[in-house]
Amino acid sequence: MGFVSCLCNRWMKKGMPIVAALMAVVPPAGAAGEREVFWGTPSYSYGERFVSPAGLSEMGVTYMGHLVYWNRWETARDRWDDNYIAQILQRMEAMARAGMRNGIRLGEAHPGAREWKTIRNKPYQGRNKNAYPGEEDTDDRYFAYLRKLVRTFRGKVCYYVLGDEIDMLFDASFRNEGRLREYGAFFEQAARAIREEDPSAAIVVAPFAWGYPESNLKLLHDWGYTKDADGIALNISHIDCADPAYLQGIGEAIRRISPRYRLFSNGFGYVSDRLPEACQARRLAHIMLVAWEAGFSYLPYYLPASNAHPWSSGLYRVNLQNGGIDPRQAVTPFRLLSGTLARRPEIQENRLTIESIVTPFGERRLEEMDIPKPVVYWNGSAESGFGIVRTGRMNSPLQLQARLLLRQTAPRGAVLVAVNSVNGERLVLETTQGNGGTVFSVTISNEPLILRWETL
Amino acid sequence: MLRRILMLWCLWLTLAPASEAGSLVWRARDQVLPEQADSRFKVHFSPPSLAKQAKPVFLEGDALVIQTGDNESAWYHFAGGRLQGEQAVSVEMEVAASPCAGPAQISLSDGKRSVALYPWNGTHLRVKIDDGEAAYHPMPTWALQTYRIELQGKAVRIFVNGKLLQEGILKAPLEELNLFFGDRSQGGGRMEIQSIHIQGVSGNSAEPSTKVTQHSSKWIRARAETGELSETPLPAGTGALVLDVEYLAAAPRQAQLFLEFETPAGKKMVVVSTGLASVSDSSYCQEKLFVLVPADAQRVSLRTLAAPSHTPFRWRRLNVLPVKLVTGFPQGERLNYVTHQPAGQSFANPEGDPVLGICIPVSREFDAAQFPDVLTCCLYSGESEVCRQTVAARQIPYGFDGYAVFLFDTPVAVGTRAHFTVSSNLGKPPYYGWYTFYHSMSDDYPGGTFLRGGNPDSGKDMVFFVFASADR
Repeated sequence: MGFVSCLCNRWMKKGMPIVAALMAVVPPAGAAGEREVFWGTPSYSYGERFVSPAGLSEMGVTYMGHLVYWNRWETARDRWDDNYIAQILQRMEAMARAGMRNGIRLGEAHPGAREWKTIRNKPYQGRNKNAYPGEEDTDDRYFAYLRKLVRTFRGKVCYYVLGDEIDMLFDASFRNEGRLREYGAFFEQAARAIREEDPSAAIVVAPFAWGYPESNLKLLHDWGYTKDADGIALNISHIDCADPAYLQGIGEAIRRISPRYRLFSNGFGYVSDRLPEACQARRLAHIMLVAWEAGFSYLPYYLPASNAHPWSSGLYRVNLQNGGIDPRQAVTPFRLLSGTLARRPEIQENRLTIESIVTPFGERRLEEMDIPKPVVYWNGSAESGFGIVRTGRMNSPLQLQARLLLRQTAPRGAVLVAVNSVNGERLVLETTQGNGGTVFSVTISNEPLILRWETL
Repeated sequence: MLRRILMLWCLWLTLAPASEAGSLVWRARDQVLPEQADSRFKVHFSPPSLAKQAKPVFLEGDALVIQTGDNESAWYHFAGGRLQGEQAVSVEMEVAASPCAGPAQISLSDGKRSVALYPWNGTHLRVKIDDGEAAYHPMPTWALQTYRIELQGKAVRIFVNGKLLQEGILKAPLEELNLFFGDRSQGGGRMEIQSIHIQGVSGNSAEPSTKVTQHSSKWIRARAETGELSETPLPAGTGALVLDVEYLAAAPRQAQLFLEFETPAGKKMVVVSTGLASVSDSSYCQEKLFVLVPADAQRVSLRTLAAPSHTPFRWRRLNVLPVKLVTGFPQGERLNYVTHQPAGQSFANPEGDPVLGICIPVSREFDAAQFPDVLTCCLYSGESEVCRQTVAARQIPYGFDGYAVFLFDTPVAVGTRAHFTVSSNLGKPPYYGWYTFYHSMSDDYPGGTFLRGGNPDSGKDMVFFVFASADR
């Protein structure tokens, strides 16, 4: 039984016919070759118990990150645990068979730097106590390890990401230029080692966590350390997306430094597991949209499965009563949006506009109202494109009845449909022709609506 | 000027509730205990030492709380005097009673005959008239309900939230009116009383012995029913409105409040939304909303709109307090956490305005039913704490943008430089959850410094508003 069918049956049993019907109606992610944006997960080792590679693919996941640690392969000097790498290769092959790409994120940031051992009383190993092979971890030995790694994975991997959250973990940022320069010099050598073995390897650098990553990147760029970089990485949490202007500003600033840098994420989401299911789903929908609108091309969701981290909820969890695996509400926005947003943004803000807001004082134009501007746009063409309608702020409690104008002629025989990306509810909209387009009414809230023309 | 005074006077006449002749009105939000407001109220404890040991009767927020443990009782007695034949009397109380081992009680009695209401374990109201069979009416008695008992001669009528619930007949009219409320049983429990309205007795026996707090007298009562219009001129220099709203709702953000401001540049509409209600249960909510007023606004019109829903919603109260903005920092980019160490902000107060309150945009990321925390704001002048105020976690939206509005009882003089901190009793994250608030990564606010754990932290500034009383 296919993953979607299985899910539909499960949800029908749970009394969620709307979601189940939606799963059956909405097509999976765009056809191969159409994709410009890649949705994925940063590590399958967390998730393989919960969802199969085929299931991931059906959900719209198009690539998989694999965390590789030097000390788990070379467990002691010149002692290599080939089983460790064999397992990763096996997972990669399974992903490839399901139509997904694979990438590698390196678990180390600068093994040879002894002075990085303590930052703000934090151990050098950061969150991975065994990530570094002790006194043998010189840079030269690490570069030799990288060459062996690339020889092993050549042809199977679409990118290598060098490190993770180096500003947060190691203080390598514009606030500590010396350390940032150190990382830049290290990266230059690491990139050279990778390219010696695979000249076409795509390399992602400058993995940052928070603050002003564009300031960090500008320094690395000006120092000449990013000549080999294909992308830069930024972890995106819900706190970065509460107001979309923050992430959009970062995206624009990085494109100003160089349009060559593709925007990459080592992980996004980190929605608190302390929140109600519907709230987690709302935040996930909002984060996905904000990151996509800001121009990110590679977006792995963190994590596919619920685990012990209350600050990052998953898409699935174990049912403690019957031992099965249950989807969480966040699966709905993840699937709906992974499929919808699997292309580069071609946003046309003036194609879809708010004509008026319905108030108890009568209808009012947006300019007459002092409210955070809702996000309303159409992306792409009428036939294959889609519209998005939502409040600008992720946690906004507002619910506004609005009359919208879509300056587009309806494709022949098509109706305009609004899909609530948070709960999957699907509504065929009543439309009228006027003002040079199609007029209709929807409720604007922080549960983003996906609009599209559908032929019934 | 004269016109403005007349307008305010007219507004006060139409919107502010006046004392009614032949009746007694007591409201917890005036922050005066019943026995302080009227000497006919007496409070009793069993055992008598309970009063000193455990303080089972206290004011909390806008409610009088009677809270007892096992083998403890605490109740009020109001002696209303003799009744004449067919004299009509009524008692109306706004009450929420937590499910408890010992039932809460509201009763009228003359020692021989009685009418008693028992909010019964959260799920039913038990009604007993004289020594007849008790009737059980299913209703969420744990939520705030308005109970009303009407007596005229032998006739008894009982209303809940304005709807007739039960009628009955006493064997004989009550000869005198004694109102009892609280816990008179051996089991423990909790009862919250927001107001008492007794009609048919002489008016309040004396002025409250404790002065009603200054800010409460400046609230403007607005019409809360959906779609109804309230209009009021704004005092000069009004920079913001604090909205004090109460409602019964089954889903968050069910109600929107539309405020249309008249400014020299034309009308400008601001929309705010409630966000407190539980997702799963119908619940009583009290929430303070904070609305920035467009520049030079002279008048505001307000209408409410309940979002279309199959779930119940009912307004209970909507009060408006115009305030003057002293200072604030409105540009936040990112969220931060308030958990195990306080965060705060210093600020300049160039005109030396006494501070009436502080507002910080904040949301809650934990279940307040599981962790009933309070967020505490301490206001300092120099190194000295001059005032502190709390906001209960359940009054901060769960997962939505909301506010913690710390409204002090009276305006507090702080001089031209001051700072505040906000702190919670939650443990270190991620074990219990946290509050999130906004701050800027760049130091854009010129008048102050962000504080973390009491230490200055440059390069950040919290989003906050400090306000004073608006001139009236």
